[in-house]
Amino acid sequence: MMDRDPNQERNSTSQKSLRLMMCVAVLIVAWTILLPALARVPSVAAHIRNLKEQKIHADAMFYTELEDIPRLNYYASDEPTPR
Amino acid sequence: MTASESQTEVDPKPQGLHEDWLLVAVGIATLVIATLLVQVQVDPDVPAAKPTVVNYASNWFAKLSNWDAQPIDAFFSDPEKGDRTFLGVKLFTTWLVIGCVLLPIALFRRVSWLQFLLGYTGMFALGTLAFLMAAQETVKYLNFEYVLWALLLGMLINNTIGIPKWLQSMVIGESMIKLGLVLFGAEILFGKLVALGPPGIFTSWLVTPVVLITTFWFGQRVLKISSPSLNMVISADMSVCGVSAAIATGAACRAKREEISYAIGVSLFFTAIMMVVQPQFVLWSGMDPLVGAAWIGGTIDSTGAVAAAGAVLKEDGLAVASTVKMIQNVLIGVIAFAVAVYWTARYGESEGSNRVGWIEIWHRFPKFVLGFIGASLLFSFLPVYTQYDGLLAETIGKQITSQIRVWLFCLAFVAFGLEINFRELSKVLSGSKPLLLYVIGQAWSMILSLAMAYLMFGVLYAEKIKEILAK
Repeated sequence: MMDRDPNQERNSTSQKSLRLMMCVAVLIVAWTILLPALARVPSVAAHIRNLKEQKIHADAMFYTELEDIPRLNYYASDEPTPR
Repeated sequence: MTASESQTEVDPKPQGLHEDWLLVAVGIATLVIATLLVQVQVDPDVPAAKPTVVNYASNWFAKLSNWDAQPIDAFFSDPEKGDRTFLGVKLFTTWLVIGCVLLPIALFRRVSWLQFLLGYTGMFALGTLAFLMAAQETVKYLNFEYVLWALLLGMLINNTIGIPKWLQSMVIGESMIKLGLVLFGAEILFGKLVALGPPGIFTSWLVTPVVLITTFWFGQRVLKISSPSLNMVISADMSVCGVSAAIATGAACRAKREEISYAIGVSLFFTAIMMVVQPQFVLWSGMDPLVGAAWIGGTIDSTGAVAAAGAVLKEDGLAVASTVKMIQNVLIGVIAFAVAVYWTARYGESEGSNRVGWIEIWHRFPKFVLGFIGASLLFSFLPVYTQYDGLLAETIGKQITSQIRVWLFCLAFVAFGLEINFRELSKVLSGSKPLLLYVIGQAWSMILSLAMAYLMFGVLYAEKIKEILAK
């Protein structure tokens, strides 16, 4: 088996690191500049404001991750529905 | 290094005891400890008084706050209300608790203490970063959940510098998912089934399995999708409840991590569109808002997105949509169990024979599913959990197990990302059939759900539902 050239290996490692750093830079720009700018677009801002006011976690995966939202109880007739 | 090679390298499971049994044992132990940490107290002098809950673990888990332009805001408890309490201590206790839960798996796999400490801390840091990305307001309110960012971070690392050696010992996504699912069982309470009576059961529990089975059949017979597990994961996440259903059924049918990741990506993309478009369509069409809300609850994949879309139809719409979705959520336990049984019998390890005996089925059956369904049954029916309207079970599920489960899922998807290389993923992405399956299945689901929602909420039980809402 041929030995790898250490210089080539070092170059390849630094290239990989550079690629990772470039990806990280793209993420930083997207999350700190682009997404906040999108949040200020009037329609998006209104959507966010509405959900915040109603304490709705739009990213909830399951109902246990939602805050207490009004739910219905078909069989309970005495107590009023929580609002 | 391909994903399969990396799997062999970092996944040295010892022979003998099936790891699933260990995961079930760790899950049950965690649930027992969680039960001991929560007390429901009733004042004996005031018989009519409502019971109160004391949760000794209420400050143990960190949840990053929403942030707009300053990521640092995520690490303070509620910056919008001026509460600048740093979440450092909570992050440390979360790290400690999740570490304790994962330690038995690491020891079972003969990972040294130092490797565990380094690997787990690295994974936890990446998980925290994924939660930070998901907590950005635009991302959060468009329903792009943390699993997507966990996956992305893992993939970025694997496809640039590769998996660092010190991280390799804790790249155990499959085990984390299974353990998370055992804990998840405690959140699936069958009592929720009757929340809306017959209309809820018909809309959620009749339409959903019909859509799931017919979509899977369509994928196999008409589209001829080459991977049945990819077909099943897409069918389940589209018909049941998005990401959580993809994870549960994916684990039950032993889907590849690339397949689960693909299904989740497609589901989140379409959910982001549907949560905006569907309620607007209900308003524009002049549809009865309650029928529209039930339709939204039955069709939009993700639970949070259903609540967001239902809220557009005012308070009653929010209540109906989220309750229908909650009932559908409960179905996930039954579906995962049924898929595990079907898969074991139909697609066993010895290819070529479709009929296998019960003993063989038992050997092949993914045992963690028993822990998952067992936890669900115990928390749904054991008197200690069901008394006081299930207050104890609800508190444990909402305040303890869901917190641990969320972190386990997050770390699992970081691990999945670390094992996926773009070449492997492109094989799954190639061809339009899986996407077509999702779109056709979703269209079918929308038609059936609308018909059932109209029949139940617009005709048969319209008066009864309005009566409940008027209380």
